[in-house]
Amino acid sequence: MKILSLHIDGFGRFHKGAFGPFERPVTVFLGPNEAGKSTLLEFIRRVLFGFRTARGRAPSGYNDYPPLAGGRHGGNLTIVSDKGETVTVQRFQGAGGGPVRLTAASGGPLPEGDLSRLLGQHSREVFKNVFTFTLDELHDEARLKDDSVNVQIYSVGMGATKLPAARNTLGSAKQALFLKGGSRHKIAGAGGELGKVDSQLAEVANNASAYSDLTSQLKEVEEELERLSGLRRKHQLELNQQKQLESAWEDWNDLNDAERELSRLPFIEDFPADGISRLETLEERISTAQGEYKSANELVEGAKAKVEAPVEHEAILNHSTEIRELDQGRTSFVNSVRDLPKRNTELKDHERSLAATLKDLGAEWDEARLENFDLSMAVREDVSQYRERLRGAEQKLGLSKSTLTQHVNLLQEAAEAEGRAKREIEAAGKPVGRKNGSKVLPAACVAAGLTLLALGMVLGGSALFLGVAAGLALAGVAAYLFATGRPSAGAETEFARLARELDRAQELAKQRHSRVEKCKKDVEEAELSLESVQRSWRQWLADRGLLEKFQPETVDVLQGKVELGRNQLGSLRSHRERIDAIQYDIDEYVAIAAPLASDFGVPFDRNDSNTVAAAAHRLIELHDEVNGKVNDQTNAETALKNAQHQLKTRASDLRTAEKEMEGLLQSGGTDDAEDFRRRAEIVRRRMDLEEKRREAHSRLQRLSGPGEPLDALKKQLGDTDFQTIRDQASLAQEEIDNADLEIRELSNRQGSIQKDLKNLTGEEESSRLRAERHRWLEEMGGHAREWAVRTIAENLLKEAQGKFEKERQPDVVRHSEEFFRNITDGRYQTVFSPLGSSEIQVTDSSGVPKQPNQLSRGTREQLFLSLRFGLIRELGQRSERLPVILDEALVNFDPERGLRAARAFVELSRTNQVLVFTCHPTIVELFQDAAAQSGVQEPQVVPIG
Amino acid sequence: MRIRFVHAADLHLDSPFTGLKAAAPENVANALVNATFDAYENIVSLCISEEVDALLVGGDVYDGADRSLRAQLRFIEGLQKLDAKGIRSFVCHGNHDPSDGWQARLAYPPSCHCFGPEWKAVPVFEDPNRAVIHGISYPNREVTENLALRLGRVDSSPFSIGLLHANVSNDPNHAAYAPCSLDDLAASGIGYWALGHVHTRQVLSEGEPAVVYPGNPQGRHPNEVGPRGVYLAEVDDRGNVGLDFRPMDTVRWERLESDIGAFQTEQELLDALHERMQGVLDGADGRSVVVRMTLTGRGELNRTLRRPNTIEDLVEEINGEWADRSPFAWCERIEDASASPFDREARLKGSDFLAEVLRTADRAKTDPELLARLGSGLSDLYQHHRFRRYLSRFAPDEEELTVLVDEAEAMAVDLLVEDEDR
Repeated sequence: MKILSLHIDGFGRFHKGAFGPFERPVTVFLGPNEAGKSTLLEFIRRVLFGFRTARGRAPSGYNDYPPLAGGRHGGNLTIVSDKGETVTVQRFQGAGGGPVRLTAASGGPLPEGDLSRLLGQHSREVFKNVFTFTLDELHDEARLKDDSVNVQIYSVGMGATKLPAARNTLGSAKQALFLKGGSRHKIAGAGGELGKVDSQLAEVANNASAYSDLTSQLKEVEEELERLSGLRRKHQLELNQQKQLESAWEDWNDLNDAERELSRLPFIEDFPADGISRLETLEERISTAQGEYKSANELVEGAKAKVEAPVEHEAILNHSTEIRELDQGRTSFVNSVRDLPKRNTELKDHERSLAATLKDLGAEWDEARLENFDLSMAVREDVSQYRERLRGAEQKLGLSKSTLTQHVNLLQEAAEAEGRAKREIEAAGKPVGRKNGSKVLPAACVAAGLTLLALGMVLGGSALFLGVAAGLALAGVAAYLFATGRPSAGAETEFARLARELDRAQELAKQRHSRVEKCKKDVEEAELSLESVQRSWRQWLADRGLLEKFQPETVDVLQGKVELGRNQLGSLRSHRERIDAIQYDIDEYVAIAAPLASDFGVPFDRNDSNTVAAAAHRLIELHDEVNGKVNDQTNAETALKNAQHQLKTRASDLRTAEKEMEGLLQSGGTDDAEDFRRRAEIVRRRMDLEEKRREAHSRLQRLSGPGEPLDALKKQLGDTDFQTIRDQASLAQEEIDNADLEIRELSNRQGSIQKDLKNLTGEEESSRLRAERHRWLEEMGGHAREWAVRTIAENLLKEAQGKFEKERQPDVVRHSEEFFRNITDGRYQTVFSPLGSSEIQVTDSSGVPKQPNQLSRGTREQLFLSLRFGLIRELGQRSERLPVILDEALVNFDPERGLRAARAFVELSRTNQVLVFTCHPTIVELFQDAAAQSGVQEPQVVPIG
Repeated sequence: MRIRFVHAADLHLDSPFTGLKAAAPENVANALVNATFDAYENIVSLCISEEVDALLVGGDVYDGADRSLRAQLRFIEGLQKLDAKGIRSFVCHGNHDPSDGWQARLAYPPSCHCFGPEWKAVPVFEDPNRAVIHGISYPNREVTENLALRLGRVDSSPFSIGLLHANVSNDPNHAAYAPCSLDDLAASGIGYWALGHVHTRQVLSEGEPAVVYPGNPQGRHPNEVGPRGVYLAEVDDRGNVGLDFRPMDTVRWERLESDIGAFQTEQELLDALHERMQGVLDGADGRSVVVRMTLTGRGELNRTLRRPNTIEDLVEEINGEWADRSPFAWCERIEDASASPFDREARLKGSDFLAEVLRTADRAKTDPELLARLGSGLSDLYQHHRFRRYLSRFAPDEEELTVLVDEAEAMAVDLLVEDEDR
């Protein structure tokens, strides 16, 4: 069978990849590492033999080659069978290794089962182990090691490379289970345990005979026990009889004694029952009654004394009201006495403050004036109005004066302008209109000077000075003008203008002068008004006795002081009242206490508050004491009445008891208590003796049993003595003790035997040991079975190998020989396997036989390849010739070895398609050279990646 | 009614459970050690509660070779209880407790009749014409005589019961002691053959005569599975026999098989095994159960099972869940008879070495010489001077050898084939 082409749908890194057709005997797939050579190889294997079916964990190192680049996981191969039948095998990953589809060249489908035929019934394992050559298997040191090389090489020839490992596994597993002559295997271990269990079982096997022996012994012991028990019963009977006599002996004596004494005692008839007890009870009652009468009497006397005792100071109870007041006022009194000095000091402080205020106001001020001074709102309003009126008048005057000053200044300016105009006319050289000028200008100057003077006088001070100065100046100007007044030549026009200005200036000065006059009047009026208000204010002050020089502001201050003084006066007065009240309380308290202290002899000093307080305290105490005593006396009276009643009752009780006593004595046949007692003792003694006789009789009756036996017992007692009874009892007891001792010993023996028997019957050790024995037997049987299976497996492999050797080996070896001769260039001529030996031998060109371990490593490899080729050829004779695959198998060979090996594969390619997967271009050359040397068609190179 | 009795046999008191490989936990071990006694106690209680006329024991009361005093004492204790209730007992001895075997000197209660080495007829009731029991004990272990024939023909006018330990019709699973045929028994005039020896209950004939093996009342071996007990027999005035099987066992054996092909993971398998354990416990009617599991079939799980300690871990896991309970279900072992998923038929067609191995194994089944060759060397162990006394009973016969060859083949395949290439 040959592979013609591949078409990968999706597998590892390939997607929609197509390779082929591969038409030559040798095809080399060349590509760098990771190009996908191994993927292609695995693709071929899986399409032909199926994907992994296991759904569980994959074997270590297993690669699923999922379609990483896309596509459906799988693809198809086109193959041509040895018979020339072309078939396309298509397989995708799926259940059961992936369903396969076969298509004939004609396009028609083929049954799935045909694939097995097309693959020559070869398994994936055979394809992998026989038809595929890898780098590992040719280069595995262990595989071709000297000591196992023969077996390895031999196994190669059978296509069963795992056979040696299988044999080793079976062999070592067997040895662990069982090894003839060994002692550490599992069978021996179980055998040892069984031996131990068997010896333990042997020990417990004697239990049954021991059981029988013990049963016999037990029977003997039980018989002896029975005999001893009989003997003991007999002695016990004897002992019981003597014990009966012994125990009866005392009663027997009692009976005789009682009867003897009774016969000696007098008989007293009708003695009252419980006489002594009743006598003693009555004596007790009388004694008690006497004691109680005495106590009652003492109570009466005591109460009387209390009732009659006088109470000192009883009269104080008549002053209970005052005492109560003293008691209630005591705390208040103490506080008042303590606080009074403090209050006086405070009063002095208040008086000092008021005096200081009055002094501030003035010498004429005292408390009465302070109190009577009018501070009403009307007065305060008056002061306020005066303050306003005075301020208004003063302001008006100031304003008028200021206006006057302004107008004076304006007048002065107008005068100066007039003067200037005149001087300019003068300077122009033409006399100012004589008519007007010679007369007008000096007059104006005089007028202005006078105005200034008047103004200066009104204003006073500096204004006066200015006025004078201005007047003088104007006068000077006027005089100058008179003296020098002559017109300048050629200035008539100018002169006219100047004359007009002079006229205007004169007019203005005139107007301003009239205004000054008016302002003077206003000032005068304002002064008059102010004077009027000041006069009225002074009158208002005089009406109230105040100094006229006071301004309204001064009156405000005075009113504040008066207010302060009044407050101080108020505090002073309330303080005085408080001190008076405290003093009143003290005096009142003293007034209550004083007479009482005097009446009841309590020390008292009304000027010493401590004495007063102590006296009050004592009086209260005394009152309480007297009150208590009086109450006691009242109670004592009630007690006296009760005690008197009780005394009467006790006297009656005593009389009753004495009468009863008298009756009792009489009933005992006497009137004397002592005699009564003597008679009672006789009666009691007789009763005791009779009781003793009755009990002794009764006990003897019980000992003997009813009827006749009592007489027999009495007779026995009468016939013997106590010592004889004791001796015989002692003898019987001794016999019993001896029997008991023996019985005890035998009982112990019996117990011991019974215990042993119980142990034997309850023994479960043997059951456990038997179970244990079976378990170990089973364990050993299990190991033996495992060993047997492995032994048979070994035999099975051996049988199969024998058959293979017989039927197949000759052909395999023959084919191998051909390859080996070619590969070694005739250095080795034959390959053979001696009959009955699992070994391969070769002979060199000189006919010398050699074992594989005597060959060089390279030659061993060649022999290995030759045997594989031999097997491939042999298989090819029987079934389809599958392609042979080299997966980098020759890469580590040196060039010469490589070439020889390549030639071998080229040789093989005559029958089997050879597919070489490599990343080394040298391998390509190697196969090209080998093909050329062998005369085979040049290899087809398929680049990958 | 003529007679009402309990027919028991093969009590094997105090004889251990066999076939157990693992040491049982304490509660299980105690139950197993006492199981034969408990079953016997149940029989005695049944006799008392059913107020039967008699208890018949058809031999092998105990294993003489075990020399168990406890077994004999407990047996007599039971008979004494019956005696106290006025129930008679009839006992014959078989190959395991022959008359010449080891016996402690113990006194049987007066109402018990223990047959000797000769046939003897003993009336059950004061009226001898109501029912008679003919019985015989083995004088020694090796009784190969047909004892039924020795009895001859008995008078059938009182209803006759034959008490005998014998192998009827050569049951191949049991030793051929006192062999006889059904015809021999039918010819005797006996109305009810109360037999012992065969451990699996069988009614060989329901009437004229009734021939009955009650089996052992307590299974003691992995092969003695299912309910074990006695027959409560009633014979009416016309001699008609009514049989009512009553289970007496306290610990029951069960063998379970599980095909691993159905499971993908260990957990799935474990879940299934737990389910099976629950099933056997549910079906045991309140009794404890000792289970032997066998894993069969082919599947990927086989690869896991072949790993060291996997089976032991499974056993531990199961017993961790079930063995501590009361009643318990104790998995005594898991046998792995499963195989890897291997297409044997396809590989058989190949021409490689493995195909040759498979063919050789197949040939061995029809070629006794080849089978003998495959089994060669086994005597090294089974006949080993130190171990043969223990192992001779395990030495495989031809049939067992065939089974071993199959296992050997599976093992060889596992070793030769890589996982990936199955």
